[in-house]
Amino acid sequence: MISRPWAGLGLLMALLAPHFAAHAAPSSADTDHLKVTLVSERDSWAAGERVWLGLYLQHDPHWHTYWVNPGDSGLVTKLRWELPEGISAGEPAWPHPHRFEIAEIVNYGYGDSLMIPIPLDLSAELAAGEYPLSVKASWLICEVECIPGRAELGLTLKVGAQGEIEADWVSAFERARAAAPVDAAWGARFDIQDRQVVVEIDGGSAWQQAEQVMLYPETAKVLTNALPSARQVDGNTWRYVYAVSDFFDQAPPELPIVLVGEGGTPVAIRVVATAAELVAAEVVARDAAAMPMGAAPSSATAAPGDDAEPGLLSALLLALMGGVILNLMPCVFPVLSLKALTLKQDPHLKRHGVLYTIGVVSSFVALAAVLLALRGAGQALGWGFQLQSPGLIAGLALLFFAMGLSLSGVISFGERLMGLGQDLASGESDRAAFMTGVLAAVVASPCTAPFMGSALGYAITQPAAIALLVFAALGIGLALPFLAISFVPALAGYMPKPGAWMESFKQFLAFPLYATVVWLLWVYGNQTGIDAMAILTMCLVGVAMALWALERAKSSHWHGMWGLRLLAAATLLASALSVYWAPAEPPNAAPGANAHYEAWTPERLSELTSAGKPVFVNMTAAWCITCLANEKATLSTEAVREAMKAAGMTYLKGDWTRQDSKITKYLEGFGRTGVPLYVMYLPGAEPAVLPQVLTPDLVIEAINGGKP
Amino acid sequence: MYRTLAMVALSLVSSAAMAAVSVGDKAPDFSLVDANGTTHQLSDFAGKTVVLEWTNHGCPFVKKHYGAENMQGQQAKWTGDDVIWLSINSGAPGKQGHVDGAGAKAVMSEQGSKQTAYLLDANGEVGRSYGAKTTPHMYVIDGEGTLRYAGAIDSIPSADQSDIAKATQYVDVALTQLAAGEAVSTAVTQPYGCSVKY
Repeated sequence: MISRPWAGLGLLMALLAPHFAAHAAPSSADTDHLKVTLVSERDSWAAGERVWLGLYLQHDPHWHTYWVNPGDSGLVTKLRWELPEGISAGEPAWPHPHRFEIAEIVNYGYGDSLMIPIPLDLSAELAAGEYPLSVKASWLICEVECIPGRAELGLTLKVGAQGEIEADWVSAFERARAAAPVDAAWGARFDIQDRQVVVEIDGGSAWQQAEQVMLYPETAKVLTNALPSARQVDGNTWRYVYAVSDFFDQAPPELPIVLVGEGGTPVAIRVVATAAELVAAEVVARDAAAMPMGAAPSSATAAPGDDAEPGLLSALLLALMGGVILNLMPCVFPVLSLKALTLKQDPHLKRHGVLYTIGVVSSFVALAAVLLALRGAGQALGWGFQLQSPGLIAGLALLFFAMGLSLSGVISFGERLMGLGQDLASGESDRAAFMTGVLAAVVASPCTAPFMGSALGYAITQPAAIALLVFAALGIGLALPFLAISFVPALAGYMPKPGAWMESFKQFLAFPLYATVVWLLWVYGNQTGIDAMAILTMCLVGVAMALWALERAKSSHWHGMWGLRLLAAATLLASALSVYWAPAEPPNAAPGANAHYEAWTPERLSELTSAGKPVFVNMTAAWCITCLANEKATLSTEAVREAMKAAGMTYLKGDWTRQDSKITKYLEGFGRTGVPLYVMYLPGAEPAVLPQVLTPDLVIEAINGGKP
Repeated sequence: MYRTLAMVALSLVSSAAMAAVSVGDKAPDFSLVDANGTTHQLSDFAGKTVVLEWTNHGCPFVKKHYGAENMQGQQAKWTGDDVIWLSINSGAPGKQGHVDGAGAKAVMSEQGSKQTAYLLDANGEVGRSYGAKTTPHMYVIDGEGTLRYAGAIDSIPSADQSDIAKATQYVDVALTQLAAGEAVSTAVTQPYGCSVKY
């Protein structure tokens, strides 16, 4: 703050400044509650150099004028120059603003007395002489009431040799420069999530003594003017969480911010925050809630939906139910049907039921731990990410194919692989039961059953312990039906009696596995390309041959035994290597010419919504069966396509088959960590999330804004 | 069951996005007394488009739009088209622009204003529930009670009457689009003016 006695001194100086008197427009004007004076820092200037003029503002006590971003109300002081040829004016070097709060209204501006330096550039060809300049200044000055003011000010600029600094104004310019924000190369980022804005500034150890650092955004309409959360220091980085401005409309690419740390040098710094993807605001906001700063934030600052998010207990319950429903999912069914087969003959039913449960639960917890660890390392991942890796898809395809062949009778693995075969009574079946659980968990994970999204979204934003608990509940839910059967034999009684039919049944069960292989191949093909898919298919043939060779080699009377084993090993090795080196071309994401949808990008979405156009967003992935079913049975139907066309709606489709951080972030914006996600944007309404299982009627109703 | 559970879960997710009143939300209902002592409730006007105008006749920005007949002109045009126009004064007693019923009538006759009613919100409750920050600060609510526009009266933030002709009149545009059954193209703007004197 510029001290008050100084205001008087400035007034005196203004009155004493003699050589400004002789110009057409006066250099100074006394208006309501404000005296404005136009001054030149030197008495003469050389052609080709940068001239500094200053607008000296003397406010009556308690009155203020405004900065570039005036805050909730007010207007920035504007200057309109009339300049001779060869002289051009630059942007004022605004000193950092101060914060004024009246009732709930926050403003950024200036009080007391201060100089606003203004650069003028003189052309090198400018002849020596005297040049009259004038400026029309307009402003709004407020105490509580506001008065608009204006004045036309002038001075004569002497051009010749560089002259002396005007002694009267030295200290005013010095103060202005000390208060001018220094451009700093600090990294700065911002991220708008839901109704919050996370701002990160790599301020390091600057202003360690400062009680608080004030932030002044130069751009309005992004950050609310209420105070943010207290500065959280995380290593080199400061983090603030703001409520988004009530008038937020569209995220700018850059957000320049002036930071003022009282009691440091420099006093003010200017950073330019760029749009980035930052840690979910919810997590940050929750931490921030523990240390509020300054005035109570407005109601808009409260973390969104503190009371609306699922509580721990309901999240656990939802996760448990989600797990049970997973049993019905097409990607889990083949594994479970295998398990159903073994249950019929298992004398250690209870123990294996428990082991199966442990297998499922520990896999879910392990996956969660990996996910949390990766998240901690700053990677934007989502649920189902393990199926975004083509290597894993290839591995699963090979494994399922081998299992299918085994069921078809090409080879009998015994219990050695995933609890298959007839020898389940042997000692090794403990491990088999456990491994079946593991397999069920791995395969089940991408099938985001309804409300798994909610429970998982909740878990991801929670401390690790709670997240793990939620995942464990999910696992227990998945294992529950089998656990129930193993403990209540009466339930097992509902299962068919063992008999010769079982061999046929076992062989039949190979077909769902083959179907799963086809699906995995298709996913792999989407991720990599047709060449890689052909190679993988050849590998399947290799596996078939290797297994056949192994089985033949089992008959010890046969002389070619070792040769066949060698052949098997060589084929398997070749398969593994060719999958490893398979070309991984990016998939061709662009929709075909006849497609009724466009590829989703955040830019396209905001372009459409800001133009007030209705938009339907479908977040999908090739490995997501629910997504594909919805697309086939609902979104691609003539009725839905017609309804969209009639409503002038654009259908944007985001493909999450491969890792895509933009889509991950979009999903997070809706509290999801997996696909499918369907969002309907109708003009003038909040985006509406549709259920994960769609029907044409439901979608058409949503398109028509709730009317069937 | 599958479907029901999905709905339960989704309602949990989507309700997490609730916050202060913003465009697309249900406009908060209120009940205020006008200059004549008549009570008006927002929900009484269900089915009609309602404009809320925060006002303070002492504010230069309000003077700008009344002095140039811009505000009265829009009031006359739209109330003639079955739109309800409510001017609301949230100035606290003792602050600039605060009026009682008689004061409000004097202001209305001096301005020649054409609003449906001039409402008194001396304790600022309604102003706060809408987050009204400036005078003027404008809101447009459709017949279903949904907030469709919030922000400035027009596109040039100044106290200069000569800017009105050059500016886009946001409220007029929003009302025109609503009347035509179209979406409001500019639904949120930053309001400008004096602070509301809560």
